Amino acid sequence: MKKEMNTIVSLSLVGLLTTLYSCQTVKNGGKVVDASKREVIITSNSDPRSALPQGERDSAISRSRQQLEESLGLNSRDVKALLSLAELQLTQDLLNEAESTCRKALLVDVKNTDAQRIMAQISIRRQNYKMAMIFLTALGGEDSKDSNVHNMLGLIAYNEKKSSEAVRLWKQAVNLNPSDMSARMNLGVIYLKNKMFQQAGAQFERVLKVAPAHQDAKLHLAIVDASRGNHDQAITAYKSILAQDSSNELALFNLAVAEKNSAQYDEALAGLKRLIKVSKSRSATTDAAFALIEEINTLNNKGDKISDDELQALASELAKRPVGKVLPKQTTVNASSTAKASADKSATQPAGKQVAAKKQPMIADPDTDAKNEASASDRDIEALERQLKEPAH
Amino acid sequence: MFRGTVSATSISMLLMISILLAIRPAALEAGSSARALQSKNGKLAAPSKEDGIDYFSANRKDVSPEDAKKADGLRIKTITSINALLSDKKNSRNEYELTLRLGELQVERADYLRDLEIGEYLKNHDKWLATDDAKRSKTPPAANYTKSENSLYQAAQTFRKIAVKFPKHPRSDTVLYSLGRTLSRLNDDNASQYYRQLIDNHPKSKLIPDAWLALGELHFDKHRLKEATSAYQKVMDFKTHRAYPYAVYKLGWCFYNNNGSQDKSGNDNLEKALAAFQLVVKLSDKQKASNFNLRDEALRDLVMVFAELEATDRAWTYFKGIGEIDRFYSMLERLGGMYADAGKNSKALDVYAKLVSESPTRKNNAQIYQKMVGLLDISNRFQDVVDTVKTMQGLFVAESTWSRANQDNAKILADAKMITERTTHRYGTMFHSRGQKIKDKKLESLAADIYAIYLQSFDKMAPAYDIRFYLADIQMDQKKYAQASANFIAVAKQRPKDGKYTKEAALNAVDAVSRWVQAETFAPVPPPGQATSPIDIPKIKKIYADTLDFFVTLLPSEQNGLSMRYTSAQIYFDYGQYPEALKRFESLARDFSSTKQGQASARVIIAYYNGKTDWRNVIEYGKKFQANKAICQDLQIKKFIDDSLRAALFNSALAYEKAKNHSKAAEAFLEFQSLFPSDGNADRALYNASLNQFKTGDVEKSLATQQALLTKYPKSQLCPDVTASMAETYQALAQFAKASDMYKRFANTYVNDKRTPFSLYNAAVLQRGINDNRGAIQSFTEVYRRFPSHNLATAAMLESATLSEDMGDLVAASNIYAAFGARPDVKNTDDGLFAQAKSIDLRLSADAKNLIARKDLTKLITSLKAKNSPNASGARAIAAKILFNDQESSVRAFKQIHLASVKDIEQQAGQKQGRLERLANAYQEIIGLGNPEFAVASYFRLGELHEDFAKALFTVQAPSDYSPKDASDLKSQLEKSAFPLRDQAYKFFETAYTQSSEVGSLSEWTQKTYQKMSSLAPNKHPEMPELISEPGYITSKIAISDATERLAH
Repeated sequence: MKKEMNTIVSLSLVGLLTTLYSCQTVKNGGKVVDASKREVIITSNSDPRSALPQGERDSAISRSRQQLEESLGLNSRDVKALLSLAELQLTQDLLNEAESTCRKALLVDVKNTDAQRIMAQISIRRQNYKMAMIFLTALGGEDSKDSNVHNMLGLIAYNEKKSSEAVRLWKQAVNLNPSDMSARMNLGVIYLKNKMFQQAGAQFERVLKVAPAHQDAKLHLAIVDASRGNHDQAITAYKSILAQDSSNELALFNLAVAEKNSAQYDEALAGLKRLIKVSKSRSATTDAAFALIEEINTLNNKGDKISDDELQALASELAKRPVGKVLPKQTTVNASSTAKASADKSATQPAGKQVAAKKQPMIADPDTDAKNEASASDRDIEALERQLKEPAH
Repeated sequence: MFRGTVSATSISMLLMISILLAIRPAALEAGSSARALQSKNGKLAAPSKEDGIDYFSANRKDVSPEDAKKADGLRIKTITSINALLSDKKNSRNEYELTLRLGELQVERADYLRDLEIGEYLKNHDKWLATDDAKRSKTPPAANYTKSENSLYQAAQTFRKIAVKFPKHPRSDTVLYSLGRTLSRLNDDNASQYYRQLIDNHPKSKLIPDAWLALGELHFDKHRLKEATSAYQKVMDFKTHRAYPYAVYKLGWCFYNNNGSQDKSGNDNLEKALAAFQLVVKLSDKQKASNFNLRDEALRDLVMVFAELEATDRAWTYFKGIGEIDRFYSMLERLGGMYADAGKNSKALDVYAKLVSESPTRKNNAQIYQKMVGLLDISNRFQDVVDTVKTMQGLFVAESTWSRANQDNAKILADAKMITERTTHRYGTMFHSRGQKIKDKKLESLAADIYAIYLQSFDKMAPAYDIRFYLADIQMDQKKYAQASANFIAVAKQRPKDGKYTKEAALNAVDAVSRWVQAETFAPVPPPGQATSPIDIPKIKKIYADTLDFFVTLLPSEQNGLSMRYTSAQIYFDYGQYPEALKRFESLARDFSSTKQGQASARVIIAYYNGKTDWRNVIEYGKKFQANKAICQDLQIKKFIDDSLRAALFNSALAYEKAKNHSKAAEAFLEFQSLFPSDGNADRALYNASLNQFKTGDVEKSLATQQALLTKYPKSQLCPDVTASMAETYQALAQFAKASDMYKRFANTYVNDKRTPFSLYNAAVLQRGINDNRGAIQSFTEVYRRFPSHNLATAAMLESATLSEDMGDLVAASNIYAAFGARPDVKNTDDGLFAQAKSIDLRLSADAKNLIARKDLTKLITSLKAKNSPNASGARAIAAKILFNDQESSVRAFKQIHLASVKDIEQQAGQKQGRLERLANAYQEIIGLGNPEFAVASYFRLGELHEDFAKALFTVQAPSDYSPKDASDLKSQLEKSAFPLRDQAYKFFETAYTQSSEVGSLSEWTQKTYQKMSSLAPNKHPEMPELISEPGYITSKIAISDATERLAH
C-alpha cells in the first residue's frame, strides 16, 4: 500500500503573529502566502488518518514538483530548486527521492542547513532517530534557533516514549516561532492524548488563526469542543472536514462519537459503517469502530441499525484483512525509488487493478462497491492522463 | 601607294598591319609590280596596271558584300543563260554579242572573285596574326587568286574566240582591247600585240587612247620607262579623254622614277614629275569619282617630289596655295626622313622639330618623335632622348592637345601610344645596357629615368615587369633604397608564382630596406616587454617589417624567411606592439620548433607573460611548449619553460583563488600537481585544489582530490588536516559510514594529534547513527580508554553504557555506569548520579535483592535528598522508578486483601489500612525525590489504592443471617468509610492530573489518571473516546519560484 502524506500549505511565520498578518495572504483551502518572504510552508503528518490535504493528490504540489524536476534538468546544481524539490517529495512521502535530491543539494552546498534539516525529517519519517539526531545535533540541537529542530527533537522524544520531554521541546519550538504550526499541532495533539483539552484547544486555535483552513486543527479542535459538550459544533466541524475528504477515518469516527453523544444513533452507525468500508486494513480504528457500534446498538437498544448478520459479515471480512497499524506509517513507503519510477510503475500497472486488489468489500453492497471502484479508477485514470499529458523529462 | 583591286579601306587596313608588324603580305606583293620599283629605288611605289584597271573600273567602293554577291549571282545566271543561248544554234546570229558579253561577264566575275580572294586572304592573315606565337606557323598565309585568274583565263579564251571568229566584226576593236587588257592582267606580254593591233588596225577607234594607256601601263610594269613614257605621252594627245589625267599621273611617275642621277637631268626629271603631279591635281577637279582619288595620290606624290628637291619654301607656297597645308607637313616628314637617311641628323632633327612645332596635332607625330629620339640617340644627346621620351609620354599617353585633337580616331591614339611605349622601352633598356657595359652611371641614371617614365605610363604592359626590376636594380645601385625596395616588391608581387625575378626581387627588397634601416638612427625603445602602450613603429622599420613579411608570405619555404620572420616579430615587440609580436613569435615557435628562432620565440612569449604576471597565458603557452619536444630539445629553454609553468600554475591558482574564482583555482592547482607531481608544493596544490573545489560546491571532486592527496602523498604534513576535512565533509554529506571510517582512520593514524579523541568520538556517534552499535561501543570505549582525561571521555563512557544497555549487554552497561559514577570528577554531578542510578537499576534488574545495589541506592537517595543536592533529574527518575517498582508488589498485595466477611472485616481492613499507610509513606518518599512522572504515578497509585479500598468496602457482602436492617446498617457504615476513601481517591487522581498538567509531565500515568477521573466523575471528565492523530507534524519550506508559484495560488 502506498502511504499517503497529509499536508497543508501555510505561511512561514517567524515572529509575532500580528506582524505577519500584515503581509500574509489567506487562500481558500488553507493556503497562506507571504509574498514578502517568497516562501510557502507545507505542514505534513505521517499519520495517514490526518485530515490534512494529501500531498500526493495535491495537483499544485505534483505539478510544482515536476516543474522543479524539469528546471533541475537544465541546472542540476540549483540548490534552492533542489531543496524545494526535496521538500515537496517529502510532503508526498517520497522519502528515497527526497533523500536523493537532498544529497544532491549537499554535494553542491555541503553546509546547507536546510538540506540537513530535510535529511533529519526524512530520518524521522523512517524512524531512524539516531541518524536524525546526527543531523539535528549538527543543526545545533537544542541550542538551535530553528523551531523545526526543536519540533523534530520533540518527535524523537515522543517516539522514545518521552512525552514530557517532547512537550518541553515543542514548547521551545513555539517559543522560538509562535507560528510553527507543526510544533503547535504536535503539542496540541499530545495534550489531547493526555486529555488536557484546554491546553490542546489553545494550540489548535493558534494554528487556526494562522491557517483558518487547517483541517487537522479543525478536527482536533472539534474534539476539544466535544469535550466541552459542544457536540453540535463538533459535528459541524467533522462534517466540514468530511466534505473535503469523505473517507477521513478520524473525522468519520469522531463524528459518530459526537452523533452518539447527541443520540443521533442512525447517523452514527451509518458513519461507522462507512468508516469500516473505507478502511484499507484492520486497525485500531476499525476495532474502535466495532466497539462503538456495539455501544451504540446497546444505547439504541434496537440493534437494527446494523444487523447481526451484517455485523458478522463485516467482521468476517475484516478478519480476512491483514492486520495493519496506524503507525509507523513508514512501513508502507512507496516501493518506487524515484518519482519517475513511480510514474513508470503506474503506467505499466493498471491503477484500477491495483486498487481492486487492495480493496476487499467487507459488506456486500455491489452498487456502492461499484461506485467506489469507479471512483478510484477515475482518479487513477485522471492521474495517468495528467502524467501522460505532461511533458516528458 | 596603290594596290590592285583591293578597296581603299582594305588597303588602309593592310597597310597598317604591315606597318605594325613590318610584315608584308607576300602573296599580295607578289602580284604587285610597284614593289619592284620601290625596292629598287627606295621610293614610294607607283601605281600598277591593276591600279589603273581599278581606277577605270566601275566604282565598287560603296557596294555591300551582299549586293556584290547578289550581282555575281545574276552574273552567273547570265553567264549560264548566255552559254545556253550559245549552244542553241537558233541564236547564232547573236553569237558575237553574246560571246563578247560572256567575256565581259567573266572579267567582271574575275574582279568579284579577286575581291573575295583578297578578303579571304586578309581574313586568314588576321587570324594568323591573332594566333599565339608558339602555335602560329612561321609562314604567313598566302593569297590565292586561282579563281579570279581562272575567270580571267576564261574571259581571255572567250575574247580570243570571238577575236578569231569575228575579226571583221565592227566592234572587234573592243574585243582586241578587252583581250589585251585581260592578257595584261595575266602578265601575258601578248597583250601589247593586241593593243598594237587595235592602234594599228583601228585608228579611228575610240579606244585608241585607252590602248596607248594600256600599252604604257604594260611597259611601266615591265620597267620599260622610256616606252612607257612614250605611250603615256601619246595619250596626252587626247586631252578630253578620260585616260588623260591618269596618263599624266603615270607620266609623272615615269619622270620621278627616272631621276637616278644627281645631276641636273635628275633634278629636271623631278621637276617634270613635279609638274605632272601638279597637273594631275588640277585635272582631277574634273575627274569622276573612282575607286581611288587621283588628286590625293598626286598630292601625296608631290610631297615626295618636293622633299626630293628639298624645296621647302616652294612646297609651303604650293600647298598653302591649294589649301593643302597638311601635304606640306607630309613633305617635311619626308624631308626629315631623307635627311636622316643621308646621315644629316641635325637637319633631320630640325625638320622634325619644325614639323611637330608647326603641326602639333598631326596624326603621325608619334612616329616623328620616335624618329627624333632615334636621331638624338645617334647624336649622343642622351638627356634629350629622355626629355623627348617624356614629351612623347605627355603627348601620346597622357591627355594632351594632340590627344584631344585626335580623340575621334581611336586607332591613331592607340598607335601613338604603342609607339611611345616601344620607344620608351627600347631606349630605357638600351641606355641601361649600354651604361652597364661601359660602366656609365649617368647613362644608367638616364635609363632609370626612362624606366620611370615607362612605368608611369605602361605599368600594365608585359615589359613593365622586367623594366621595374631593372629600375629597382639601378635605384639600389644609387642607394635609393626606398624606391628600390618598393619596386622590387612590386616586381615580386606582379608575378609571384612564375616570375623569373620573384625570388631575386623579394630578396633584393629585403636587402634594400635593411640597408635603409641601417643607414638611419632611431630613438631608443623600452626594455623588452615593458612598453606600457604600443609605440608607433618608425616608418622605415615598419616598412622593413612589412618587407620581411612580404618575403615570407611570398616565399614561405625559403630558408632565409625564418630569420626574417623572427626579425619582423622582434620589431613589433621592440615597439610594444605585443599582440602582433606575440602572434608572430607563437607562429615561429609552433611552425619552426626545432630552430633557434622557434625556441627563442617560445622563450620570448613565456618571458613576456611572466613579466606581465599573466599566468593564464604563461600556463597556456608553457604547456603548449612543454608538449613540443622540438622546442624542449634546448635544455635551457625547457628548464625555463618548466620553471615558468610551475610558478605560473601556482600563482595563477592563487590569483584565481584571490579573485574567488574557485573553479579555475582548483583546475590550476590540479594541473600543477599533474604536471609537477614531484614538486615540493604538489601536495599543497592538491590540498588547495580540494579547498577550492569545495568552495565551488563540487564536493565530490574535492573529496576525490583529498583522497588523491592521501594516496599520493601519504607523508605529507597536510594529511592529518585532509583526513579530518574528509571526515567532516562526509559527515556533512550524510555519508556517515565513510565519515566514521575517516574519523577512525584519523584516530588510528595520527594518534598524537589533539583532534584524535574528537575524531574517535565522532566516529562512534556516526556509527551509532548508522546502527553500527557494536562499532560505536568500541569507538566510545576507545575514547575513554585512550583518553581517560579528555573531556569527551565521560560522554563516551555514558554513550557506551547506553548503547550496551540498548544492545542488552546489561552487565557491561552496569559496569560502565558504575565506573563512570565512581569517577571523582563526575561523581556528584548530574551525570555521575545518573550513572550511579543506572548502575543500581541494572544490577537490581538482574537481582532485585542485590544488597550492594540496595546499599548504593540508599546512598544515592540520601545524596539526592541532601540539602543543595544537584538537580540530577535523570538519577531522580531512575531512583523514583526503582522505588516505585519496589512498591508494585505491595500494591498487588494490597489489592488482594479482600474484605470478604464481616467477621474478618476489621482485621482485613486493618491489614489493608496498614499496607495503605506503608505504601503512602513509600509514595511520599518517591514524590519527595522530585521526579514528576513518578510523582504523578505515585499520586495515581495512591488514588488507585484508595479507590480499591473504597471499592472493597463498597463490595463487602452482609452475612446471610443478617437482617435486612443489619445488612443495611452495615453497608451504610461501610459506605461512610468508603465514600471518603473514594473522594480521596478522586483527589489523588485530580492531584496527579493537575500536577501532570502543571509540570508538563505527560505519561501513561496522566492518561490513566484521566480515565480514573472520568470513571469517577464522568460528567466532569467525559470519557472522550475520540480518535486523535499521532504527533508527527513536520514543516517543509518551499521557496516560491517559477516552478513552485502555483503553490502560492
